[in-house]
Amino acid sequence: MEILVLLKQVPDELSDVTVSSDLKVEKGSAKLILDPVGKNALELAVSLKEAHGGSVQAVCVGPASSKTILKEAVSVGADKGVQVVDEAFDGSDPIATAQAVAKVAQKLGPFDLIVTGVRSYDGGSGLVAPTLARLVGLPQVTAANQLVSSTEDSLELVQLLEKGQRTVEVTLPAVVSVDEYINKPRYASVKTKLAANKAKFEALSAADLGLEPVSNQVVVKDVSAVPARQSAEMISGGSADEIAQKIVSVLQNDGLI
Amino acid sequence: MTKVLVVAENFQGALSTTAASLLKRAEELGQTVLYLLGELDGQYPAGQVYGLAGDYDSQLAAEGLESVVEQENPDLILAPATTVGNDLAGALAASKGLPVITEVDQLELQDGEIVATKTILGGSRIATMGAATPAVITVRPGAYRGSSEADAVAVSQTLSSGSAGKVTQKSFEAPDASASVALEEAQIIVSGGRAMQGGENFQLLTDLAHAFGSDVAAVGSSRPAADAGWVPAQMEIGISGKTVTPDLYIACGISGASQHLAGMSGAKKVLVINNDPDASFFSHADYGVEGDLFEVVPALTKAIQATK
Repeated sequence: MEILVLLKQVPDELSDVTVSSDLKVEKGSAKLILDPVGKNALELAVSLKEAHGGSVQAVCVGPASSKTILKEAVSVGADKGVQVVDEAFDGSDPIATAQAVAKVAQKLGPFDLIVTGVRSYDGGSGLVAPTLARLVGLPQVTAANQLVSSTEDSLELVQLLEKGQRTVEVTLPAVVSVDEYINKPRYASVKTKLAANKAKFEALSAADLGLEPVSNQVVVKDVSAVPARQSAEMISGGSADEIAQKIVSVLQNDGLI
Repeated sequence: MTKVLVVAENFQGALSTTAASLLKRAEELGQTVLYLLGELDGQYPAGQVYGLAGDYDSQLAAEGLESVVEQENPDLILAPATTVGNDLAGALAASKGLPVITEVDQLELQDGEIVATKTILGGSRIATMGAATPAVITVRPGAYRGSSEADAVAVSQTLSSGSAGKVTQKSFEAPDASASVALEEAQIIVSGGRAMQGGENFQLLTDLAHAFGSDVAAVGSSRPAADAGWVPAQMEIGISGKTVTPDLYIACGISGASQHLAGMSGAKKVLVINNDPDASFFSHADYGVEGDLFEVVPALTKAIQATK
């Protein structure tokens, strides 16, 4: 099974991220890590390779620094990694990312499976997988929460819906996005980490992929902080029943019950 | 006049609460067209209804949506920010080159331009975004409430799939019919964390939610509780789970990690019950009780029941 896994580098703590006066998100001092849900996508890819043979290639779209997440991918079983680095992708626009990955899939493929996280930790639009599936013309299962079984040409997955969940079989090639419950990502060993450190990664620009600079159709007009809550007004004194009575009065005063 | 196309699923014979409220919002913005997936029987409060029958297959549903957009030329395409809604929004934006904004909390039309607000960066910021029409928007469940009272009409045009799907539904597991309102739609959420100590203890939270009323209150959890398998993943509130905006959020034995706060920062009032005085959640709450949840929660259940 030839698998492409899309990974993203994200800030570890979103509170360290700042928004500049011209409304650009700046990662500043934030420590950058592999998107947690990307680890689950990677684990799915590597475990399917182990079951069915083939290879796993990791791709990331982002700044040159995102090479570190490709190293991490190789340390847990990816065979190769490729970076798409271009100022054109600085804004982390999900559509632009999907366009770039579609081109990468064309250039390095064909792939039986393209897998990614259902939504990134920082961006969280949930758009990349469905946009990508449409661009490459493949069926998709987004928000997969469990792998039931796999063959060389199909996957049986549990997908979470607005209400309830369903088990589906998807014929490969396909695009799948996963959540953080689908598996437990493995850890790298010291030995595989050292080996991954030596790995070299191809870097592609928008021009290498034949992509026009993307014009962002959505304009950010304003960014404001969510009004911070003050420290809680403590309700205390007496037995549990007395505290419960005080809570009820407070909630009644607020018109909540 | 502005024309708004709403994408919705028919769930077990009716529109979901989210879809119904989206249709109501669409009606406030202009003339409505509904693109319905799933079961097509019944009548719906929209100007016109297109339908695609059968189990959901993203490719077939996206082709159907594209054909409706071509026939109707809507100014705005609205879908709930759910698995299906986000799938179709992404596919449509890609095929038609339309601007797309997902997970929107509030949506206005200003001088023919779409202005939408949503939380970004893990619920820490509110962004206001603009896009020209036509555009595709997914709206977070719970962002709007209520339902349309417009005249209901039946599906007037049934679309057929041009090809066989590549995604086959083998089984569907409906949510427990006795369960309460969906988390995204709940006015009150009682949520439990690591200090619940086990899945069986969540019954205490369910009892409290039922005391408020199962039509208004639901039970959620933090990541550690869902990770431990105490509750299903669908109950997790936070950056890797659901985003909720209830009127009242009662956090029981949850420390208040930023990943959890990201999913509930939009709650109007927050009550934290925790026996750890240093729990950081106390700094992000309206009311706090430093106490044993195993004593306070049952007492609160009794006290709420007594008000009914």
